[in-house]
Amino acid sequence: MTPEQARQAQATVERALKEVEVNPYEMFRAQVDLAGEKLGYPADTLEMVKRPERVIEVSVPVRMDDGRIEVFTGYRVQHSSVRGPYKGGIRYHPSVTMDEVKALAGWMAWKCAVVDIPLGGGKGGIVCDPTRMSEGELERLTRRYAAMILPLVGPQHDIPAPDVNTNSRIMNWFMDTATALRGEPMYGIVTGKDLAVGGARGRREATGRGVMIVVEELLARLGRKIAGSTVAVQGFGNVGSVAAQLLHEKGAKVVGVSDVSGTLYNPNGLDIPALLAYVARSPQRLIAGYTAAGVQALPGSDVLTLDVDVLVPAALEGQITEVNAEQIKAQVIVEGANGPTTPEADLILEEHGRVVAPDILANAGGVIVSYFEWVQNLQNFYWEEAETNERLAAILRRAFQGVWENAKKHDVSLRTSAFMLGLERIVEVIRLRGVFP
Amino acid sequence: MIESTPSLLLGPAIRRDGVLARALGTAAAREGQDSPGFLASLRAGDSATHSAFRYALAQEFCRYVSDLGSTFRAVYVYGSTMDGRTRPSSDVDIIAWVGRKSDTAESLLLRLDRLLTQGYRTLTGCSSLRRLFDIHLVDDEDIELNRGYGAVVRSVWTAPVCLWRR
Repeated sequence: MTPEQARQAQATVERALKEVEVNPYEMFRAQVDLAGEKLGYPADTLEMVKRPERVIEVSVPVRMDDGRIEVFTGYRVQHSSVRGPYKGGIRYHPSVTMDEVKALAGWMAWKCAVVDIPLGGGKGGIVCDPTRMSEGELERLTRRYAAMILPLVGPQHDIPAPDVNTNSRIMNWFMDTATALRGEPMYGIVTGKDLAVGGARGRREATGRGVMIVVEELLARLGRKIAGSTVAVQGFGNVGSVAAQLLHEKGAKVVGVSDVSGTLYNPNGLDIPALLAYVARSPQRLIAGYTAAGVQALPGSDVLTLDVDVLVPAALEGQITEVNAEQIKAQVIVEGANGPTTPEADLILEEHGRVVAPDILANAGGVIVSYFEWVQNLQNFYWEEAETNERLAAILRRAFQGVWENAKKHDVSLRTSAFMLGLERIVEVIRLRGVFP
Repeated sequence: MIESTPSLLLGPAIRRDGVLARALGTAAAREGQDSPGFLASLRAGDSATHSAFRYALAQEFCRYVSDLGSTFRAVYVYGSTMDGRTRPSSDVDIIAWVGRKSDTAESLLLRLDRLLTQGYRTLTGCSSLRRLFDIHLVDDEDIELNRGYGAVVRSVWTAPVCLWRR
């Protein structure tokens, strides 16, 4: 061992002593093992569904604004195509790792299977810090990455989408690059584009709308209705604000909302349209400073422990923890964000009889409308927003019913039920198709 | 990991707790060594050192589950960890008694095992270890009916050691 290798080994041990690094791909494999054991699937089948079909790593050279060339690392993982073309976002972040992308690609295969849309799972990422890059650098990075993975993506093969730190503008560049290089329109190669370049009407509201539908379905199973129920929403961005607005329109009393600037609480219900109008006018798009009769400003985390029927965590991951889970009063929790509930909190919530609609189902509205965007691109025929909303509701209500019934059948939580259902659907397709050759 | 990770891919919170460092310190103190010396013995595959470290990890497991509401009632350890026959690739046999078995508890414990197995491999360099913990959940009914690992809890032949009880 060289002195440098010894130093690195020592640093690794010291890091492990401070914090054990979570390998998300290992966590994904653990969940497949657990679901597979409950369903009695053989180990070879599970090994097949746990492993990604294809893993791509690319070097992405970019001419930076100061004239030097920086070489970035990009990934694209194609987990499963048994149910349809690979589908999943591309994230730009300094901490992107291959194992994270592998885990998320697998997760996408499950998510598409749970809501039963004919797509597989994929994910991509570039190790970069987009907050320190100019618009021009980001464009060149995106276009070169698109060129590097283009031989392996396409409307019938793998369809990326926005994810962390990527947006419609980046998807437009990706599509434009593919169109230029292939010499034909490639609208269906990515989703999440702007409306004028093949985006879908209703895409921005899709995840929040999906949350509202899941709240409605879950309350109905518990013999309750949205109208008259009290709701708290953590996060007032694209997901939380739309969910709050739609729940308000359905007659729910949204008594609390929060964002990074704090919580607003009114036991008689907040005037959500007025709050939305205020946020739209506010320079930072925050709820801070909003005043109205009966509205109290509280610390941000208080939104989680308000005395409500329904809690919608739609902000960041890891918000409901072993520290605050016992204080949560909501009977129903619908995860608008990814991973808002830690594994420890999940156990405590279950012990207290809370019902959690898991993220894999509750925030699937986005991927469902991505599917619609792709379908419209392929047909070059674009729907009205009402049609998108109607079809979204039909798919999500059916998916909820499936997860609910499966939970009853196996006596498991909705979270485990959804994962088991996804596995069942993927394995069933493998059984029907057989294993080549 | 980047924020925006789905729920089932999140690792247990214990990862941030310095759990391995604490177990190493506890075990080293019990063996009358300092942590670096103890770690060197671990990496050399010394059997008694591995037993002591596993015992300390089992204690950490108890500390962790005791803070998770009132789900867990007791934790027992049996097998090689207790009788000094531990090899670097041995697991820690644990029986965790809960009020009612649930998939949520199973999922949490499986993730905990994968996490600590990974940390353990990094620490000791023992890549042949398949899993660090072999955890069996038993519930009130198992204990009452003397069923499955519920029977092991009361066994006079393989009597497990109760490390923690609520």
